[in-house]
This record gives sequence, C-alpha cells and structure tokens, in this order.
Amino acid sequence: MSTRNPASSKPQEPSPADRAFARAACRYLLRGEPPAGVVERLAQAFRLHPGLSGGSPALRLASRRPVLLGPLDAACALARRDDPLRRRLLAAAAVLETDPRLADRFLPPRRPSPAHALGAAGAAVLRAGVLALVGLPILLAAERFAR
Amino acid sequence: MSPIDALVVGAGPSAAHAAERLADEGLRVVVVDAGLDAERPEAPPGAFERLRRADPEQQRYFLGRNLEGLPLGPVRVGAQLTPPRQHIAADADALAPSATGAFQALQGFVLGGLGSAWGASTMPFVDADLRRWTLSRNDLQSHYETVARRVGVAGRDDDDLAARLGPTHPLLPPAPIDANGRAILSAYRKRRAALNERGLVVGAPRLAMATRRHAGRGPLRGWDMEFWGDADDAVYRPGRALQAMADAGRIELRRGLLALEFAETGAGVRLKVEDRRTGERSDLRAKRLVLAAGTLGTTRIVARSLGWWGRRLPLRSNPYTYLPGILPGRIGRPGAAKRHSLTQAAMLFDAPTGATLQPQAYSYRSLLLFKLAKESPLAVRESIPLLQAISEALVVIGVFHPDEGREPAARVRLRQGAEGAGDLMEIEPAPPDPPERRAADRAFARLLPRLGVLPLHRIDPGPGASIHYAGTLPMDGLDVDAACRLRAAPRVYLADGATFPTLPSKGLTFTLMANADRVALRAAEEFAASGGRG
Repeated sequence: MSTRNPASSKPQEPSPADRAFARAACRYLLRGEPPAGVVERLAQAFRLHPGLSGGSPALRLASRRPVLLGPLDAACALARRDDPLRRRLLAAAAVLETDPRLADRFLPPRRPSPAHALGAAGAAVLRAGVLALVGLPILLAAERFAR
Repeated sequence: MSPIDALVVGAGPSAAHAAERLADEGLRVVVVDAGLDAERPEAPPGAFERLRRADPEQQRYFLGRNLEGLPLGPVRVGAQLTPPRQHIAADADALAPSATGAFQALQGFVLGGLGSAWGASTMPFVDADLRRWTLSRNDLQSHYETVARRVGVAGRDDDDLAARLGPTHPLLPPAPIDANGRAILSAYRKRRAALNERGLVVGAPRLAMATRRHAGRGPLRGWDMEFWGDADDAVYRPGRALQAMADAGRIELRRGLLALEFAETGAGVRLKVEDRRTGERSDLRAKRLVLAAGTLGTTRIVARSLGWWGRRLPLRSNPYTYLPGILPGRIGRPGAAKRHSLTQAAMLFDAPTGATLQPQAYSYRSLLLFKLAKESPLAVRESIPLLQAISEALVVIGVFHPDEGREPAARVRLRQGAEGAGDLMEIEPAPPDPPERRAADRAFARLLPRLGVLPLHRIDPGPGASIHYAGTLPMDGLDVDAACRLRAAPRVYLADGATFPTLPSKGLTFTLMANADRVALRAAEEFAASGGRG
C-alpha cells in the first residue's frame, strides 16, 4: 500500500512574486513580451533551483521598480557578481536561450559579417557602460537604505 | 555452470578492456557493475542548430528537468557534467561516502563509469612520460595498438604532434577540424620554428571517434552534440562496448551489484557484493579477481579488504586550468555546418618551469551563451548580443598539468565507520595552484596570440577538476608488483589508474585502457600457467 500523501505529490505553484519577477525579467532581457509559457517556466525555475532562493536589496528594488533592472543588472555585473538579482537574470537568460522560438537571438547570425559583429559588440559594451554608471549609485543607495 | 575464471569489478574504460582481453584469452569472465539503468534526459538525434531552432523539449537536456544544468552557486562535484551526463555521478554520495574538502572527487556508478563523459582524446605515453614507471613505451606499444583497433582512433600520424606521440598505431581518417581549429593550425604552421623553439607543438587531435563505420559504431555525423549525448554513436563509450560483449555472449554482465570487499580462499577469491535493488549481500567466487572500479573505487575496496583503516595513500590528479579566448580574425566569420564539439587542436608545451603541459582547444558554440554571460563583466542583457556576435570565434583551451613530482596532488585514506555505518574516504588536497603552475600557464598564454588567440582569463576550477585520478597503489611498489598484482593477495589484479606511479599531462584514458589490456594479458598468462587453478 502506498504511504504517499496525495496532497504532497501535487506540483507546487510559483508564488505571485516569482511570477511577477519572471515576467519583468523576460521583458527586460527580450525588450518585449516573451512567448507564451516562458514566464511560467522561469517562475518554476525560481521555485525549484536552490541557487535562486535568496534575496538582496538589489533584487527587492528591481522587483518593486522593474524599470531599474537595467542599471542594477549592469551594476551587479561589476560589483555584486553573485547577487541573487544577477543569478535570477542568468537563469532567465538560460530559460530564454533554450526556447526554440528565441533561438535566433542566441545562435550565431545566419549571415554573419565582421562589421555587423563588431558593431553589435561595441554597442553592447557601450550600453552596459552607461547602465553601470547609472546603476552603481542606485545599488549602493539601495544597500545603504536596507541596513 | 562452469566456475568463474575471472571476476572484473567495474564498468569503465579499464574494466571494458580488461574484460575483453580476458575473454579473448578464453577465460570465463563475469563483470560486476554497480550501475542501474537510470532515467536520463537524453538528447534526440539531430544537429545542435536544428535542435535549438526546432525542439520545444530542449530545456530538458540542455538545462535538465530540475534545471540542474544551471551553474549557479558554489561549485559542486559533477557540476562540470551536462544534464544528460549527470546521472554518472548521481549515486556516488550514497554508494561511496567521502569527505573530500576542496578536492573534486567524481566517481561514476553507471555502466561505462566516468568513461561515459570522456572527451575521447587519445595520446599515448612515451618513455619521457614513463620515466618514474617501471614500464617503457615498448611494453605498452602492442596494447596501444590493440586498444586503438578496438575503440577506433581518428587522427594523423604525419604532423608535429604525432612526432611527440611515439610509434604509430592503427588510425581512422582524421575527424574534420572546425574553422577555429583550422585557424589555430594555420597560424602555427606560419610561425612553427619560433613556436617550436619556445617549446610548443600543435597538431590535429587524436580522438576515439568512428569517423567511418567502425566496430558497429558511427560514422560521425557532425551534429556538434558531443557534450550532450551520443546519438550518432561515434565516440567510444565503454558502457556500450561492455553491453555489446555481453550481448554477444563473450562476457557475463551482472548489473546493480556493488563490490564491497574480497578475501583470498584456497580455491581462488571470494568477493562480497551488495545487490542495490534488494540490499541483500552475497558472495561471488572466482579464480582471479581484477579490480577496475576506478582509482578511488578500487582503493576503497582494497583498503577495506586488507584493513588499511587510516593508512594515507598518495593520490595523483592532473591539475587543470581553463583559458577562454577569442580569435579576433574569426569574428563575424561563419562556422562549418557540420562539426564535432570535442578537441579541435591538441598541443604539447614544454614550459620554462620544466613541466610539459597538454593544452586542448575547444570551440565554445555548443555550450550555450548563458554560461559565458555569467563570466562577463557586462549586464546580462548586454552580454547576450555581445556573446552572440562573437560566439563563432570563442574557444576554451583546457590545460592539463602533470602530477609527477614527489608530492602528489592529494592524499587519501579510508576511515572505518562506526558499527552499522559505512566507511568514509577522506581526501586531503595539496595546497592549490602553486606559483610554478601559474607561471607555466602564463608562459603558455603568452604564446597564444601567435596562434591567433587572445586569452581572456585564467580559470582554476580547483583540485580534482580534471577528473583524472591515479597513483594510490603504484605498480612495482610496496603493495603491488610489476604485473599489478596485490602482494598481499596475489590472485587479485589491479587494472585501473590506481597503479599509475605518476600522471603525465597527456590524458590518461588511452593508457588506462592499454594498461588494463596488459594487466589482463598477464593475468590470463599466469592463470594458464597455473593450469587454470584457483
């Protein structure tokens, strides 16, 4: 006879906060609406993966104000490389990368050219630099305020 | 049923070749494998790019069912395995309790053992590599040839690297080299004399890969999925070889049996095993016992059987570093549609420190960008388009260092558990990353721009990360004779890396297989000379 509690085998639902952050992270990374089902998969990842459970001032601030995700992401990349915010964004990038509808955003371009590649790389570095300049004071302020 | 002539413990590369040789010599062979059939997220047949664009289920094998492929948080044992390979080490904590501290001690309890994740690089040892062994290349040559015929080694015997690998052995046509590998080899040829003068030789890799149909495997399809699965069956996997031998009736394969300890008896050897499905313990009896359970597994069985509780033994392991790099000349250039994911260019570097390093260049593409974004100093969102733009030009150079000095990489000992508890293997690593190793890496990295590669970073994943372990019970030493028999139990042969006195920087697996063939031949000859008696 099974001793398993049927209630315990029911899959747990992600929390509304996890769903909200998953949606915000996908929109931020894609600069637009994610395809159907991706937000739910990411919210499940937040619930399942032991490395994604912690909190931090940066994560709390970004959850309340998704518009600050860019600056905080750039600041954490420089100054808080293992911050829970950055972990969650990396998890979001992984889930998005393994969705076939988004493959073209991650695979090498179908018609590559050195000029296009160098232009895209330079633009990314420039944007990240500007975002970090904005984000670092915000990150420090959020941490000071949290103390 | 006729009595068992030889029991082989283990199911990895050493066990496969020991069993095959014993069977070839006419012995009745039973292979005892602790593995059970584990459900795992196997990648379907198909090319990397096609699966990425078309398979809605790809998260299952690229990230894992529970996202175990997300490398977040502290590094843990097995983290370097992709989700389809993580079953290899899944049961190790329960079956082989260990306290290893910073040392990454990976053990495989599946059919195929750690060979299920082997990178397939085959580089035979030469006399310079064997200088602290009591074997010479001549002693191993016929066994390298035998193993090369069995596994199918693709490669060249006419380039600079081949000149450093000793006498040739049977070779299949070389595997295609991708655009990054070709760029490195082309740059090498242009500056060959200067690079040789600084101790660097570069050549085509030799890989245990069926580039044409070989021994029922392959041919290589060029799907670029070697990190994620074996759907084209081109890379040699010892688990499949053992299963094929069992299916052909050449050996008997008993699965799910964990070998615990042995004792010599008047009639041979008794091996105590535990059935993992039922927990029941029983004895198997044979005339000879061949331990090939991997260095750590074999050491545990020997120490437990001989009561070596607390005895400190040396443990060799190749220190390993990664140098991610970029080929600026390849940015924005297309890659080949068909390629494989394994080594594209193999090297040997005689460092000014006196050590010979063995670097191998891999193209990054099939390992997914999010893992690189983790290492980037840019925002995740900005890292993705940057990495996408340069991904075809990214390489990772894995550098194996030798463990040949007087002080091994670690020490290992077995602690007896309290009554009813299992025993515990303790590993104490030597101090990590000494200055001479960093100096050797720096000297190598300084040569990379001449190969067209700009090194970006140096990553030291810590002791044990090479997953190469050896040297606990060196051959022709205190405890083991030249035929790799235990002096305290001469019907027991050790056929894995436990008996390697040192570890040169060349990967050990090809030599593991050749030495297992050698040990098994000696065992068969001694068995025959005894008239087949126990």
